[in-house]
Amino acid sequence: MSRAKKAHSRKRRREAAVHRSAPAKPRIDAARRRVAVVKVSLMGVAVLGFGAALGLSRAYYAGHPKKPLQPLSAPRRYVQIVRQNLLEAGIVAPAQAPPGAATASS
Amino acid sequence: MNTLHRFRSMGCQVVVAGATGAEASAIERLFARRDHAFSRFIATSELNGVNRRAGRLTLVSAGFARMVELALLAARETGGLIDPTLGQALESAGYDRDFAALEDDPGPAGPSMPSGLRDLVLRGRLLEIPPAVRLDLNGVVKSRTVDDALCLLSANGYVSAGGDLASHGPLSVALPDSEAVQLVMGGLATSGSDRRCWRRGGMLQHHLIDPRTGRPAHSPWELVTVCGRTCLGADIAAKAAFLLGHEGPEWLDDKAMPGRFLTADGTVITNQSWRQSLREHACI
Repeated sequence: MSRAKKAHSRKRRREAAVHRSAPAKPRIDAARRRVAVVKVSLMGVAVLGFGAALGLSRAYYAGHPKKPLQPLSAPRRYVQIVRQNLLEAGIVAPAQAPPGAATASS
Repeated sequence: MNTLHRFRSMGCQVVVAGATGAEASAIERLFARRDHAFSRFIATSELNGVNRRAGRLTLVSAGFARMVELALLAARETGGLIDPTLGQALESAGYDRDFAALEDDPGPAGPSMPSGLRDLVLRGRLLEIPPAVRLDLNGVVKSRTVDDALCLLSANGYVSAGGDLASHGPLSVALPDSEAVQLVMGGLATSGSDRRCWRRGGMLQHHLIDPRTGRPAHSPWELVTVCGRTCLGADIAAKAAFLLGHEGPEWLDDKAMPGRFLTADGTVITNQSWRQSLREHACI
């Protein structure tokens, strides 16, 4: 085959290849769109899953605080009862039997 | 009630009556835990840890915070007479080791130490004591532990630790001068200068510090016995009445708390509430 013929056939093959690749571009764009949709969907599912897990753990996990944190101190009722009882009188009566116990200075 | 369980804790003998074996063990453990947390003479106690951090904010255990809260409540109710910030004053007077190891010393006692009560801050479990102040919670820990131990008894019985006593059910109790009285309800506590005393430079010292002077109190009474609804209340009132001197009987009457005062020469004085309680409950 002569040189001119070879060059001509190469040119024709190139043109044919260009012709074949022209309809592939919309297919790549479509694939890219699908990938983007899948990515967004996966991210959405992950965010929703995290939110649901957070909500569920708040509601059901024993160690998670279920209400706003309060400073740790004696409950008000406890303090109230102790204050009420602190300096209140007990009852003594004349001894009815020999002593079973003794009080001495501490 | 006949079963007596005895052990030593907090520098005194503890007697428990009417407890099952398990209850007696639980009570012994309770005393050991409290002693370990609040003793000035155990280097690793939480109290000593807190005292070492004087001047800085410290996160204390819930139990410790509750005891400090009680001590502050006692201080408020007694106008500052029961003061938990007098640990340094006690040490200055010479009470710097376990009482059993304390000996008379010809050297003088240290200087008087002021109260740091005004600058003590407790917010929840965060505690800050002023620099150079040392806490001593003995004014509430022992009697509170007696009350807590009594709660562990399922049947009639009593718990006694040193002078502090609380009982489920009526109990005949020997008083310091060999008289006896029936404790019908509540707790009975005796405070005084006759037992925990020692000498520094020939001067008699004892463990009841007057916060107004920062030194062992001068009181006309040797022993004061008070009956309260709880042992804690009785102990706080007995110490306050001792520190108040001649005003003690009247102060107790204002609170309708029965009190009995013994002087060094053996004279017994009872306040109106004591006599009234004996009269009203003579036929129980």
